[in-house]
Amino acid sequence: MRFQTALVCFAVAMLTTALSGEAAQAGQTLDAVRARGTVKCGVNMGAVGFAAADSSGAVKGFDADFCRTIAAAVFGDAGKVTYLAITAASRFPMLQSGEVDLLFSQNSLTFTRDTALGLTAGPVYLYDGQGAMVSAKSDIKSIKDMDGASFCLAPGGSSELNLNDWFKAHKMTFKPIVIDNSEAARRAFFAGRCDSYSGDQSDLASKRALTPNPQDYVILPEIIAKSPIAPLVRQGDDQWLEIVKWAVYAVIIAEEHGITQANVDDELAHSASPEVQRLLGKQPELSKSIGLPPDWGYQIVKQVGNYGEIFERNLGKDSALHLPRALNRLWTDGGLIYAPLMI
Amino acid sequence: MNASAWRRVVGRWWYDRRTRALLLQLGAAAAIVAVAAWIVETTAAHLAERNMSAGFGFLRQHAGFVIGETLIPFDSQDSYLRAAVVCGLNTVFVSLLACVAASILGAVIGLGRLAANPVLHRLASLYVLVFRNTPLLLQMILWYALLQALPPVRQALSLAGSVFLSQRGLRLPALVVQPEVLIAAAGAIVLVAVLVSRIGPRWRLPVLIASLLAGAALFSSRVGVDLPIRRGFNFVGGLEMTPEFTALFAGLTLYYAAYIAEIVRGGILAVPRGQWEAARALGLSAWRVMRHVVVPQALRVITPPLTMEYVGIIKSSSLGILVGYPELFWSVSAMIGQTGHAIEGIAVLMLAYLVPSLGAAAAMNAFNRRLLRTSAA
Repeated sequence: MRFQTALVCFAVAMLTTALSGEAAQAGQTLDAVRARGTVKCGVNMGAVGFAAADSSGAVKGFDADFCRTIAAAVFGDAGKVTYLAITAASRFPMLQSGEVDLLFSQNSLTFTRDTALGLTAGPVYLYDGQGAMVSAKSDIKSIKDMDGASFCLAPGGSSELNLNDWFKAHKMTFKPIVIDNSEAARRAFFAGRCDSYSGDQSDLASKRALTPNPQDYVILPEIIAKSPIAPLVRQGDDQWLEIVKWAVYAVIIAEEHGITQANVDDELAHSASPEVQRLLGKQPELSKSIGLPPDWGYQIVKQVGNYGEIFERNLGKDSALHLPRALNRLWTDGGLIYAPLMI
Repeated sequence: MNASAWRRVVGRWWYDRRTRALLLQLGAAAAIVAVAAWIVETTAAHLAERNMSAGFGFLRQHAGFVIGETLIPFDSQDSYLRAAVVCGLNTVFVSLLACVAASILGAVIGLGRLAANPVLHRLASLYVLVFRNTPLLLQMILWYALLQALPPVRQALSLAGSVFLSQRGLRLPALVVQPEVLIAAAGAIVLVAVLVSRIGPRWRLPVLIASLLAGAALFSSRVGVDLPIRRGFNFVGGLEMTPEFTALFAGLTLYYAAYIAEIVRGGILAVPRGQWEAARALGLSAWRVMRHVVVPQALRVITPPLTMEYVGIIKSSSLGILVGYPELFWSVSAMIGQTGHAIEGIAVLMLAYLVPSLGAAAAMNAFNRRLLRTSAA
C-alpha cells in the first residue's frame, strides 16, 4: 500500500514537472510582470554608463534607464525594476528560462541571436561599432599596425568573431586572450597583459572610465565592425515585444518633438500637435491595443526622459564617458535614430 | 497450466536468490532508462516549445574564433568540434604536467613533514597548512595577478639574452629536433642501456661516459636552437610559457602538492616500525631502506588516494577558464556563448571529463592491482 502511494506521488510529481514550464504565449509576460509587481531586467551590471550602482546603491546607466522606461509604461512607476546581473554565458539561458523578462545588456544584434536561440530582438537603441583601445604610450595609430599583437577580449561575444574576420581579411594575425570573466579581462588589459582591448567603442569608453587614469588610454578611431545594440525578449509573446519596441520608440518620438522631462507637463496641457497628444495619452483608446495604461507614453518621458536626455546623461557630455552622439543623433540631425509614426 | 502450477513456477523464480536478484536489477535498470528517456524527451519538447533548436549538428559549424595557445594547429574556419578537441588536448597537457609536478613536489614536502630537522618540518607543515586551507581558485587568481606585476614586455627581464621574463610570460630557447633524429636518438639510448646492463659493473661507468660523449658529438650538429627574438609587439620564436598557462599550472601543482604531501606522509607512516628496524638491522643504508623496504609498502597505501588527487587535477583544470587558459571548459563555454546550445555543450563537457577521469581511475586501479599481486608473490 505504501509502495503504491509512493508510486502515485512519483507519477504526479513527474506529470507536474512535465506540464510546467510552458513556452511564451501572447500576454503571458505582461501578466507575470503585473502579478510580480516589478520588471526583471537583465543588465551588464558594473558597466559604467550602462548599468552600474552609484554611491547610494541605485543602478544608473543607459541600459538601466531603458529598463526603467518599461516599468514606467507598465506600472507608471519607473522604479519598479529588478536588475539582474548577466554574464556572457548566462544571459541567453536566463532569458530563455524566464529568469528575466528582457535583456537590455549591451547585446549586439546578430542573426543567430535573433533567430536560433528562441529569442527575438526589439529595435536598435544604440548604433555602435567595434574598435580597439590601446595604451597611449604604445604610439599605435591604427589597427592596421597591429599584426601579431595580443588582444584582451570579453568572452562569448561577437567581438571575438568580428576581430578574427577583420584580421583574416587583412591577412594579419593576432593572439586572443579571452578570460571568462569580463572584469578579469579588463584588469588584464589595464595591467598590460595585452597590447589592446577590443570591443564596442561605447563599452571601451565605459571600461576606460573605470580606470584611475583614463587619459593614458586611446580608443582608436577605426571601426572594424558595426555593432547594433538591441534589447532581446523571448519569441512567442508578441505583446511583450511590442511594449519593448514602443517604449524605445516613445523616447525617440519625444525627442523628435522636443518633449523633455522638464516640459512634458506643459506639452501635455498645451501642445497642439496631434502626435504629441497621442504619445502622451490624450487618445486613451490607442493604448488598448498594446495592453498598457493610457498615460504610458507620458510616464516614460516624465520619469525617464527622451532619447537625447537618456544618452547625454549616461554616455554623452554629462557622463564620465563623453561619447559623441555620432550615429545616435536623430535622423533629422543626420543620425540613424528614427521611429515609426505614433498614429 | 493451471493457476497453482503457474504460481509454483513464479514462486520458484521469486524465491531463487539469483533469479530474484536478476529480476530486481533488470527492473531497476529499466526504471533508470525510463526516467532518463523521459528527461530527454521532456527537455527536447520544452526546447521545441521555446523555439530553441536542439541536437549536436552545431558542432560541425565553423567556430569563427581563434585559440590563443594550441598544441595542434587550429584555424577559425575549423569546426566547434575541433575547437573542443584542440582545447581538450590543452586540458590533458596541463593536467599531465601538473600531475607529475605535484607528485614530485608533494613527495618532497611529505618527506619534509617527516624530517627530524625542525626547520624543514615546520616549513613543510606551514606549506600544507596554507595551500590546503585556501581555495584553489583564489590561489590561481593570485598567481595570475602576481604574473601581471612583472615588468612590461619592453623592459623584460633577460638572462643571457635568450631567456626573457615579462608580463607576457616566460620565453625560453627551444630545441628544434627533426622527428627522425629524435627516433634515432631514442634508439641509441635503448641500445646503450641494454649494453650497459649486460656488461660487468667495472666497465659500466666508462662505457656510459664514452657513449654519452659519442652521442653528443653525433647529435649536437643535428639539434637546432630556436632563440626568442624581440619583434613587433612581443617575442617570437623559442618556447613560450604564457601567464595564463603558468597561473593554471602553478595553481594546480602547488595546491594538489599539499594534498599529495599528506598522502605520502600517511603512506610512509603506515609502514610498521618493525619493517624499518628490520631493514636497518640487516645493515641497509638509509637510501636502500627507503628504496627497497618502505616505499614499496607505502605505495600500496598511497596509490588509491593518489588516484583521486590526479582525477581532481583533471577536473580542477577547468578553472583555467577564469585565468584565460584555453582548456576544454573554455572552448565549450565559448561554444555556448556563440550558439546558445547550453544543454548539448554541457553534455559534451560531462562526457569529455568522464573519459580522462575514468581513464585515470582505471589506470591507477590496474597499477594498484599489479602492486598487490607483486607484493603478495
